[in-house]
Parts: sequence; C-alpha cells; structure tokens
Amino acid sequence: MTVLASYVLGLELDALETRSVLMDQYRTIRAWVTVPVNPDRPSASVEEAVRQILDQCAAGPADVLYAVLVSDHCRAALQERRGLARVAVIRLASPAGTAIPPLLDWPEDLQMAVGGAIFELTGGFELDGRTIGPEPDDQAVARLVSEIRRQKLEAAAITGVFSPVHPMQEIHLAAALTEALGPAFPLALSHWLGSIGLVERENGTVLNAALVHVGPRAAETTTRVLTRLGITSPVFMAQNDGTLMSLQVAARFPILTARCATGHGLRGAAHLSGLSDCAVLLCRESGIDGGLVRNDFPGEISSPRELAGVRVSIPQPDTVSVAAQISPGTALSPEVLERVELALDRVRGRPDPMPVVCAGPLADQVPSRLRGTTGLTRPALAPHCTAVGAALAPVGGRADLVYSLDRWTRKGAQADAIRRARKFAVEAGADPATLEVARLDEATLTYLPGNTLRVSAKVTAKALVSGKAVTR
Amino acid sequence: MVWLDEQAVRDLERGAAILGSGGGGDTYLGALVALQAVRKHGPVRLLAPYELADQALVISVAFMGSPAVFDEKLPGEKTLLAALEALQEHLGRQAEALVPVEVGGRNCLSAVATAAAAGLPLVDADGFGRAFPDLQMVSFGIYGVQGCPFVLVNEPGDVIIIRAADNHTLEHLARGAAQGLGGVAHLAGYPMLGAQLKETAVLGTVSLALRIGQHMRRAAPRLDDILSAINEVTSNSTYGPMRLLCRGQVVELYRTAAETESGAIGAPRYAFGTAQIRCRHGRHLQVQFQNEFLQAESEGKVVVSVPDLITMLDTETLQPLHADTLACGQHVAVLGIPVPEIMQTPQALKCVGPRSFGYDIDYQPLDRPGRAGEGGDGSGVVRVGP
Repeated sequence: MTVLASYVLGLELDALETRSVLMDQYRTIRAWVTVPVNPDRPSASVEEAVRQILDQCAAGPADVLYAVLVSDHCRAALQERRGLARVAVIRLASPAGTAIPPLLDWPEDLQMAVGGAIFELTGGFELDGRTIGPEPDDQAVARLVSEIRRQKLEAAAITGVFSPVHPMQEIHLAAALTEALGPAFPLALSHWLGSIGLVERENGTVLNAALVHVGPRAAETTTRVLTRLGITSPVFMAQNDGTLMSLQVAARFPILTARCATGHGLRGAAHLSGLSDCAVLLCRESGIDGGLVRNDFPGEISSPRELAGVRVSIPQPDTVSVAAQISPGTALSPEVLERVELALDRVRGRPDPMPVVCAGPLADQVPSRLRGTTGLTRPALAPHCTAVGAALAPVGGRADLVYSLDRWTRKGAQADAIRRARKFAVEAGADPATLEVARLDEATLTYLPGNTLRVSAKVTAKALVSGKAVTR
Repeated sequence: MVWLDEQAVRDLERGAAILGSGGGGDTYLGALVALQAVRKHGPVRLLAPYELADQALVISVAFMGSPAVFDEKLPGEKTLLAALEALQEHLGRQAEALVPVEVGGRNCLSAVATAAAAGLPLVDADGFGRAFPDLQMVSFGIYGVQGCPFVLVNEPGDVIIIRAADNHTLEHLARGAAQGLGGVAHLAGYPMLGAQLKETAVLGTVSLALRIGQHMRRAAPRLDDILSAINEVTSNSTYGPMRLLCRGQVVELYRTAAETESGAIGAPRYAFGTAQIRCRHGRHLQVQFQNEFLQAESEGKVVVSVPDLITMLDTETLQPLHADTLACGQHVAVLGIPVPEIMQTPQALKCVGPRSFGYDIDYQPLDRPGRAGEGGDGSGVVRVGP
C-alpha cells in the first residue's frame, strides 16, 4: 500500500545562500540543501535548491503540500537603506504632537531613504472620542494629494492619535487618498500595526510603507520558480513571531517579516536538538543573536524595541544581538566571545546555566566552552535551522486593541480580541477548525479616565491547503 | 556655567529614569520633546541655586495626568509655553527662571524643553528629589509655598487657572482638571521668589541626574559597573550611598487593578500592588508600589521606606523598570537610595512619609547603621559586586 507523501518545503533566502529543507508528515527532515546565490541571477539558486531537494527524496511537484519562505530581504533593505519607497508620512494630531515631529529620532540616512516628506495635519481623537483638531477637509486633502504627486511619493503612512480606539479618521483619509491616487497606491494605516504609543506605532507604520516594493519581491521570485517547476501548492511567508502568513497578507504587512529569520531560527534550532526549552545562539555573517525557546515557542516581545535604528512596537523575537563580522574558518576574537557570553547571561536571565544550541550558517565558529551553559549542542543541520523552524511553524494571527471597560466587560473584550485574531489568522491561511489561542495578554492603562484595558491575543493554526486540513 | 545641550538631554534621560523610583513615566518621549526644543531654541542654562537672585520670580513646570495619554497624544509645541504664559499674565510678572516640579522621570526632561522654548534658565533643583504622585508633596509646598495661582493647559488651548485654599485642595482640583482637559495637561505653578526656592527646594537634583546619566554612559554595559556608576554619584551628593538590596527574580506580582474577576472592574486609577522577588541568596523581598516603588520588606522587616528611593534595574537590559510594566519572571536588581534630608524632616514626613501612602509604620531612613541589605555591612558603605 503506498503512503501518499506530503512534504512541506522550507526555503530560506538570504544574500549569500539559499537553504532548503523538505519535511515529511512526521516532522522529519528528509532532505536539505544549500545553494550559493548568484547576485546577478537570484532566482537560479532557488530553482536549483528546489530541484536538488526534490531529487534527493525522489519527490515530485505534487508531493509538496505547501511551501514556506523565510526571507531576509526586508531586514536587509532596512539595514542597508536599499530599495525603500519614498513615503508620505502623514500624522493626524495637530495641535497636539508638534513637540515631537515625525521621524525625530530616526538616523539621518534612514530618514533620507524614506524621503522625509512629513505632513502634520489637524485631527486625532481624545480617548473619549472628541476630536483634538478638525479632521482634514477637502482642501487639505487636495493639497496633500497634490504634494504627493509633486514629490512623486510612492506610498503613504497614516497615523492618527488614539486610532487603535478610534480608527475612523485614518480610514476616511485612506479612502480619500485611494480615490485620488488610485487603488494601487500603497497605504499603511497605523491602527493595523500597533497599540497605544504614537511614536513607536508611527515608526512601524512608516517602515511598513517604506517596504512596500521590497516586501513582495522575494515572494514573487519564489512563486515564479515554483510554478515553473510545476509546484502549484500555496506559499506562506514566515512572520517575525515564529508563525506564517499568506502572501496576500504578507504583501500588506512586510514589516512583520523584518525579523522572521531570527524567530524561525530559534524554533528550528531547538527542534533539531530535541529540546523544548533552551537558549539558542544564531550565528550568521553579520553577528550572533541570542534568544530563548520555551515550550517550543521562540520568545517574542511587542513592547518597544529597536529595529533598523528606530523604536517600533511590532512583534519581534526577544533576542540580544552581538554585531560582529564572522567568517568561516576564523575563530571568534576574545572580545567578541566576551560579548557573546554577556549576551548569553542576559538571555538566560537567571544565574543557573542552561543548555545552549548553536545554530545558523556559521554555528561552527562558536567554541564549545562557553560560560553559563550546561552543554553546547551543534545539531547536524545547524545551518538549516531557520528553514526547519519555518517548516514546523503554524499560521498565526493577532490582534492588539484597547477597550473601554465602560462599554465592554473584561470577558467580552478578551472574546473580541480573540475573534479578531482568528479572523486575521484565517485571512493569513489558517484552517479554522484548528485555531488555538496561543497567548492572551492584558494590561490596564493606568491613570486614564474610566477604565481601559489593553488586550493582546495571538492565535495559531495549521495551514489550510486546498480546503483540506494538514495532518501534522 | 552648565548648559544643557543634546548630549545632556540624553544623559538626563538615563539619570532621571533612575531617580524615578519606578514611576515618573518613560523618559524616552520626554527626551524627544527636550531634544526637539533644544535643537530649535538652543541649549538651556542650568542655574545653580546660589546663582539665583533672591527676588527673582521662579515658576515650576511639569506635565500631569495619564502617562498612556501622554504617550499617545504627544504634547504640542505651543502647549509647552501656554501654561507659563497664562500664569505670567495672571501674575502680571515674567518669570526669571523655571524649576522642575519633579526630577524623577519624564518631567525632568519636559522642564528642560519648556525652559528651552521660553529662553529661560532652569534652576538646578526640584520639588521631590525623585518622582511622587501628588502636587502637595512638593518640598516647596511642604515648607510653606502656595501652589496657587496654578495653571493647566491642553493642546486645543483650553486654560484652567486654579486658586485653592491649600495645596491638598489644589491637588484634588488639578487632578480633575487634567482629566477634563483630555487626560493630560501641562502645568505651571508654585510661583515663588528665589529666596523661597533656596529654602524649600530639593537642591542640586538636576545636575545629580545629569551626573548619574554621564557615569552610566561611560560605564561598561555590565550590571556591577552600572551599579558602581550610580553609587559613585549618589555617595558624593546629598543623597548618600546606594544599597544593593537584592538581585533576583520577580516570582509573584499582585496588582489591585487586575485582581477583580467580575465583568466590570472597578479599578483604582493607579498601578498599585506588590512584587515578590526571590533573591539569589534565597531570601525574599517584597516591594510595595503605588505608581512608584514605596516600601521594601524582607523577612518581616522593613528594609526601605518612602521617601527613600527604590529603583529596580532589569539585569538583562540594564534599564530601570517601571512599576506599571513590571512582569513576573523578570530578573532584577533592587537598589535603595537615601532621599536628601530636606524630605526626611517631620514636616516633610507628614506629606511623604509611609502613612501618607497608607502604610502604618514610622519612616526608617535607609542610611541608619544596622540597616541590613545584601552587599551592605552597616557602615553606610555599599560593597557592590558578586
């Protein structure tokens, strides 16, 4: 009796190499390859990697249930200030907000890369729904549109005060811009991308808009290659928090892939070592990221953290970074080693040593004797940990909202946040029958009139493929 | 002559956070306001109290209200000056200098911003020596200065002028006014003469915050080096040696706001609660907080009591922690810093002692010999190290 193979194809793309794994329905890695990238023909390495890996398993295109793509290109674009769109940075807050203009604390080169076109308009809401300034009228919108055209801006980021509670002004302005500039003009609305805390939410929204060209590029290349090879199954993009999302959702939220390689690398490294709880050191050419895995999940953080030199509040892997030039065959300098040990101290938190897994393309460069470890594992597939992590990952959805407890009960607010997170997950390609609540966090916002509760919900699910549940 | 420029703003951002004692708001946004103001208007002269003329008019400035609203609404440029201008108009007199209400936390930075925008010097002093929640707790008020006339403004430009019978009433009225103004308001109040400030303010606190920030910046990014940096500054000031009370992990967190299980939470407005910390040597430390960390107990004995400062550092990030964002599982170092003597007098303790916060104990100063803390040998000298 033949058993129908159903593989998940994991693909990790970075500047130097394409790494791929093929995982079977028992979560066993059946094949793995690494193909160097030819910068003149980036799609060639993807095609070569997929061909090789299918050959190794004697598998055909129809055996691939779905593919997952972990790509470093958004992170690299932000880091190198390359390929970023010129963004109309629109804030609806005046007369509030003018003491801290948009992009105030941004590195100068990043500010220049996104164009620095700032529009501080009247608008915004008080918490109770009264407006701070009048919503921009038709003339103000016309002036804005005219400037966007004149400066040839390529995307717009709209941030309004208290939009996570009152999103209407952002939505109205977006509709007006779409009408004037056409539905293809990329827009990022801040209430999609963060909770209370204007500067961090605005920063994340602007970065999201700036990535609008870069975001879909890797997905397009990969989809073309897969189609050419006869693989028609769905492709999912890896998210920062260790889950997956559909390409359509990823195209709207490229910022949610800006640290996807780290998030998935952590999980993959733990899995390859057979550990549910461990510290992980991900070793790449640009440095070492240290993070924790607990209960198979990579540690994540949504409170403000730096990304590309800018403070944002999007979900990110909770890691400590040691920036350093690492090359194969060269041992780490004593100075870098010291910083790695300090990073490990911080990652561990408590003084007791714990198992450490070294993974990533340059895992071999970290010596076995490190302070604070009960044992250092370098799993055989260490360079492929990120592709492995992505192949294992569930589809994820989240919602992070603020509720007035004068209108909601606490249970009602929790239920609403979960409902919205589930909706996001289904849009992202989740099988609704397998949705689970992975995290539910609450925080009261202190000193506020009335009682306000911030609820953050994250749900995960198996991927929905061709209307069938994935049995793994 | 000390000028507060962009680097000073960055250093104050760190130092003011240490003096926040778990409250005072996140200094990052305050630093951004100050940076923008200093870039636009030039550096601020930090005036030593002795340089202040006895007859000069000094006005104290701050934001009050919800930190969450501040984080979201962000102040308007005009707001920084509107309260000051309205108060000056009401008094019929211009201020010669400004002084922060509060050196701990965000308000230290916003005072720098207001001074920059106004083109006035900032006096090296404040009303708390740390962060505190209420207006009647300022040292100026404790020693007889009237808070009123007192002005509050918001972004749309509404102005409320308060004349209250006493400073307790002022706090009550101002709190309601700030809510009515949208949740956060900029204030100008406690108008006083230079001579009065010299008698009643906590002196030298802005430069202390600056020095703490400078020393922390220069220290290696290791906990022990950071602790030494802080101790070096406080030991050579009106505060006194810093005590490392405990290094450990937050194992239990009890917040009164989160306790109610029923649908509608009748929560108090503030972050109130208790943190239980398991120390490395096995002992436990309980830290009580009401926005700020107020009291630390170990083995049934009070180790630090308000008004002395309790600061918690996250040992992973080396950043100071706020009471409202403290989480179970965090690895912390808990520090005690004695408050300057002007806040330890019987008169002061009536407003800022333990009983003002509902703790029925007498104040026990941190630097009294015999106080036991991890790393302290009772001589008043703190050994900082493993």
